[in-house]
Amino acid sequence: MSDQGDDYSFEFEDSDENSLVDSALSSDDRDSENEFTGGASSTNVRTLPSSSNSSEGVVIKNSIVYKPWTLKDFIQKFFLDEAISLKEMQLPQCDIDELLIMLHYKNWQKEDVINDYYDDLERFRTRCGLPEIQSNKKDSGLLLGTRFSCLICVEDYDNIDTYSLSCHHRYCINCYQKYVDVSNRNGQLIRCIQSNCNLSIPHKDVSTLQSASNGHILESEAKKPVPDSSNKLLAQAAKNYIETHKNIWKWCPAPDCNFLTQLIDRKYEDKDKENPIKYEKDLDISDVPIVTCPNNHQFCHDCQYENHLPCPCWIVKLWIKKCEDDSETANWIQANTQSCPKCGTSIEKNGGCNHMSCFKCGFEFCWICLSSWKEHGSSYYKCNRFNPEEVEAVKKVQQSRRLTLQRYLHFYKRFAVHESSMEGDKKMIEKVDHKMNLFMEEESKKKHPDRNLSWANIQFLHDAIRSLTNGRKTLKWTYCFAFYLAKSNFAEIFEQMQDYLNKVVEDLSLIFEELNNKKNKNNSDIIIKRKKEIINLSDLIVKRQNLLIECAQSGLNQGLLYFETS
Amino acid sequence: MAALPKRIIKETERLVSDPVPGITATPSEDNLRYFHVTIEGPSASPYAGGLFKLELYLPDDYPMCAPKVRFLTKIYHPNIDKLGRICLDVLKDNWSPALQIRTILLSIQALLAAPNPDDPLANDVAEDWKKDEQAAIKMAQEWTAKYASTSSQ
Repeated sequence: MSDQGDDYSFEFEDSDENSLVDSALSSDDRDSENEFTGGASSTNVRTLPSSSNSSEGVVIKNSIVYKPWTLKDFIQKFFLDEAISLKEMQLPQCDIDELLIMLHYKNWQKEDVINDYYDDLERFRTRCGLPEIQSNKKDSGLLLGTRFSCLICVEDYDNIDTYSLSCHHRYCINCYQKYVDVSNRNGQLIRCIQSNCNLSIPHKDVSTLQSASNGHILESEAKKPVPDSSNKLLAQAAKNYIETHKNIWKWCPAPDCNFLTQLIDRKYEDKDKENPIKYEKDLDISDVPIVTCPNNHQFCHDCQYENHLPCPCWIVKLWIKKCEDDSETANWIQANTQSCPKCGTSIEKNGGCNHMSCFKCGFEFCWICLSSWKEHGSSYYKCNRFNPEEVEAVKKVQQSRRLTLQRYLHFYKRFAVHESSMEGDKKMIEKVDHKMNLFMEEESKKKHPDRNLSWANIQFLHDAIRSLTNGRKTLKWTYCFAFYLAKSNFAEIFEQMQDYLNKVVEDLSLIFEELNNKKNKNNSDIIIKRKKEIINLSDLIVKRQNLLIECAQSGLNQGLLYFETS
Repeated sequence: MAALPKRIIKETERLVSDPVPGITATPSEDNLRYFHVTIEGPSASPYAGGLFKLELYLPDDYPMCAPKVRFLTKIYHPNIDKLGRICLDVLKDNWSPALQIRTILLSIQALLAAPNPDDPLANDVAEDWKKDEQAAIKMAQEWTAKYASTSSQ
């Protein structure tokens, strides 16, 4: 039984992957060549060199090619390896520290370094903050444990480490450490402390200086021959680089996730330049660049929001804005209040007769016709001498506003419920996970385990949890989708499919809830017993989720589904 | 508050014992990082005859970060805005821990002697300055007499 389950779970993994690739292929086929849509252009930004040479870790999904990175790998590949390749190929006469400073100064563009190097070497070196080639390097660098009076902190030390560049502006290590810490905040090259001295501190020395405490540096740090990928100046420089190349590099938006993704290639790239309006209201959702970081967080590489399929990015933007705006408050006021005809104060009538007197200006008026009460004289409720059509029109406007508000609240409520359920799921899942871990530990302690259980046997739980969360996410966004969707027969089909997905998501959620019920003491047993059910449901969620997105995709492409966003 | 770094004590001592001509800087009694500063308008400038009050504060990171300086007296100058903030390179990017309070105040005095309308902070003043320098200088003299004259204080 358990073996079967395992096989099944592997199949589920595989079929999941395949279905993604399949749908990618089929959507490729379906899209005729003149369907040019999507794609933020990246042509005017130079990419990092050799970014697509290595195919290791590259993911090809639907219309996009991307690769997830850690910050350290990024630094290694694009900063350190670049310096090493310059050293090995083009500029063997320079050492690594100098090459890193040159690359840093030239924003890590190897070609620019080579050009400037051969253009005017002296000028280039000065600008980078490198000493003249003939300069005397004697007596520069670190001096360990000497008697020293520092001009910055004006302290006299008997035994302290000091540092200077080849300019011999020597200061104590405490001052240098503080200086480097403060200067590192902007990720630029750090120059000598002395005012008007332009020399740059090598990256390697920066981490040595940062290791200082109580007047002495950490010797293990000083002995490192070249800076490594944990160098803080390089890390800050990398963050700057990523920040300025935002259409290629994105941080995973999930909290506490440190991965970044690099967009290597995408279908239909820069074909929308001539037609920006079409891009703004793009209806092809097959090329929404959904990427997955190594922690399994899915997000959209364009808007850096979570996976918002089936909604295109521009609908997401509209929706977020609508939800953030207090425009809905204004709508509510318009739907539920009337303005005093004299001073304009909003008044909500919660009972009583139609003879109103404004609490602010004291103006007396009729709630029905909004004109002065005086004209009504003693004959109450005789508003018919006013144009009844006018009153009718006012009412109509108010009613339609009320309807719009109700419609928005309807979808927003469901959207928000799924969002909060996702949070709830997360907590519940943590509990289940914890319980399973305890259970497995106990099981492994037993001398004669009655079942053949291993950690691999409960892996299915994680898969199920992932598909539940992803299913909810898609479901959540279908409500945003549905809010903007114009009424049509096909929209009804879409709603039907939304219903199906809703049902399986709720079913699986229910099982987890039961497992988590405190009354069930043997819930670990229940998990094993209901394994097949859980796997089936999570498989079903993935299938229905994909079907729903495909349905939205083909509907939008064929013009059967369209948005109303006025 | 943490103990005052030796560097600040030394600088304060020297500012009092060996003051810069035309400049005074006295630390506040309740906060030794806060200085009351006065600068005399340089003699060959439109600010001649004026005495300008400033405030100077040494942030926690001093001397790794520049002191914060602001004019308290109203002044008509292209590099000083309505709020008294000063546009000066050594107060921003070109700060170095090797500089001191006295060097910064000297730089500010030099800025009064040589306004630089090509790198303005107060755009309206800088425009006037570039359009009609004579009129601008006259205006600066008027403001000096009105707000910074020693007799009125």
